[in-house]
Amino acid sequence: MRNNGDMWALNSVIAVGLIAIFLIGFFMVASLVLPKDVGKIKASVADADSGSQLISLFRVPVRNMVVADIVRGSVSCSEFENVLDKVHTYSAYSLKINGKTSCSKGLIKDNVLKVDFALPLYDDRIADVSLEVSK
Amino acid sequence: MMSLLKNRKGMDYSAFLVIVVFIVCIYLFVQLSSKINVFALSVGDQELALMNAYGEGDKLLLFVDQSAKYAVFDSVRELASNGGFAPGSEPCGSVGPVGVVVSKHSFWVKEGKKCYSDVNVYDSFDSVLSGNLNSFLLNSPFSVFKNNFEFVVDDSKVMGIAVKPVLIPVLVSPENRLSFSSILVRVADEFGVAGTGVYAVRPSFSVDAQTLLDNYELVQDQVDVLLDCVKTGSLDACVKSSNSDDFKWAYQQVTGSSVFVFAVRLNKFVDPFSKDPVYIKFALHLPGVRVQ
Repeated sequence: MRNNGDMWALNSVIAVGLIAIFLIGFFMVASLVLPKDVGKIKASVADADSGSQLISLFRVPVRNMVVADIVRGSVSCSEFENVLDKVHTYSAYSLKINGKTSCSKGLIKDNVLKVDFALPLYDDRIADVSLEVSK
Repeated sequence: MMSLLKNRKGMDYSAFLVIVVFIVCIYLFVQLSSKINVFALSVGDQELALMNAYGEGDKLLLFVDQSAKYAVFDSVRELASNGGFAPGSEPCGSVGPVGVVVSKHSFWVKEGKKCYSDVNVYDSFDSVLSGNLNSFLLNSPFSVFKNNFEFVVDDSKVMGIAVKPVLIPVLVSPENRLSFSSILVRVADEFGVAGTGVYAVRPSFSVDAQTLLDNYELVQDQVDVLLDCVKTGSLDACVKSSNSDDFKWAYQQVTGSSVFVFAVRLNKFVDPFSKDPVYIKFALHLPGVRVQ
C-alpha cells in the first residue's frame, strides 16, 4: 500500500468480491424461492394431452382381446410393452393395478406422463389403473 | 492500511458500486416474483380444463366398452340358466332348488300349457343385459343413468348406445373458480353439474359375441317333438334322440313329482372369460310319462 493506485486496486477487489457474493446469493435465493412456472404450465398441458394418448393405448387389440384386459391377467407384460413400443417413445414405464406394480421397465425419473383411470373386472369389482411413462 | 482507509475517493466509489448492485438485485427479485405470479394461475387453465374433460370422456368410454363386454357374456349365461326368461318374468313360475335339483329351473311346460310361446327371448336378453350393465356402471366412478342403454343384437354382435348423455364438467383450477362464479352458477342451474362448461358424452359399444339366441327356438321345437315322443316311448330314449352336434341334453326328475328338469348344453357357445359351458335350463311337467 504505497500509493493511490494500490489502494484503488484493493478497493476494487473488495467491491467486486462483494458484488459477486450478492449476485451468487441472488441467483441461489431466486432458484429456491421463485417457482419455475413456465415449466410447470408446459408440463401440465403436455400431461393432459399425453394422458388421453395413453388411454387410447388400452384399446389396441391383442390377440382376440384388447390391452385393457391386462387387468385380469389375459395380456402379458411383454405384449403390453410391444404395444407401448409402437405408440410411444419412452425410456421407462410403470403400470400399477390397484396400487401394485404389474409391469415396469427402467427407472421413472422426470418428464413423466401419467394417467389414472378405472376399469371393471369380470366379478363386478373395479380395478384402479395407473400408468406412468418417462420420456 | 491506514492510508487505504484515508483514501475517501476509492472507498466512496467501491461502496457506491456495491450498494447499486444490491439494490438492483432486490429490484430484480421483486419484479420477477410479481410477473411470475401473474402467469401462474391463468395461462392455459381453461384449455387444460377442456382437455381434462375430454380425457375423462375417454376414460368413461373405455370403462363402458369393457363393462359391456363382460355384461354381454354374463347375460348369455344368466338368460340360459333362467330358461330364456328375464328373472321374475317366468309365466309359469319355477321349481328348485329341491332335493337333487340344485338350482332354479323355469317351467316351459306346466299342466299342459306351453309357457314359452308368448315370450320373446330377444326382449328377455335386453332386460338381462340392461341389469348386468347397470351393476357394472353403477359401481363406476362415473355418473351413468340406470337402464340408460338401447341394444341391437344380431348373429355375431351386440351393440348398445346410451339414451341420455353422461355430463362431464369442465373444471378450471380451484384458484380460478372465483372469477368464473357466475358461469358456474348458470351451468349448475342448467345441467346440474358444477363447472365452467359441460362435455356431454353418449357412450356406445359393439361387442363381438355370438349370443345364440336363435338356439332357444330350436330347443323349443325339440321340446315339442319330445312331448309327442313321450306319448309312445320312454323319456330317456326321447331325450337321447334329441342330442346333436349343437346340443347335449341331460335331465333329472324332481323327487316325488312328475316334474323333470332339463339342462341343454350349447356346444357352440364360446365365452372368452369363463371356461364353464352354458346350459339352457328349464322344467317340464310331464304327468304319467314313462322314464325308462
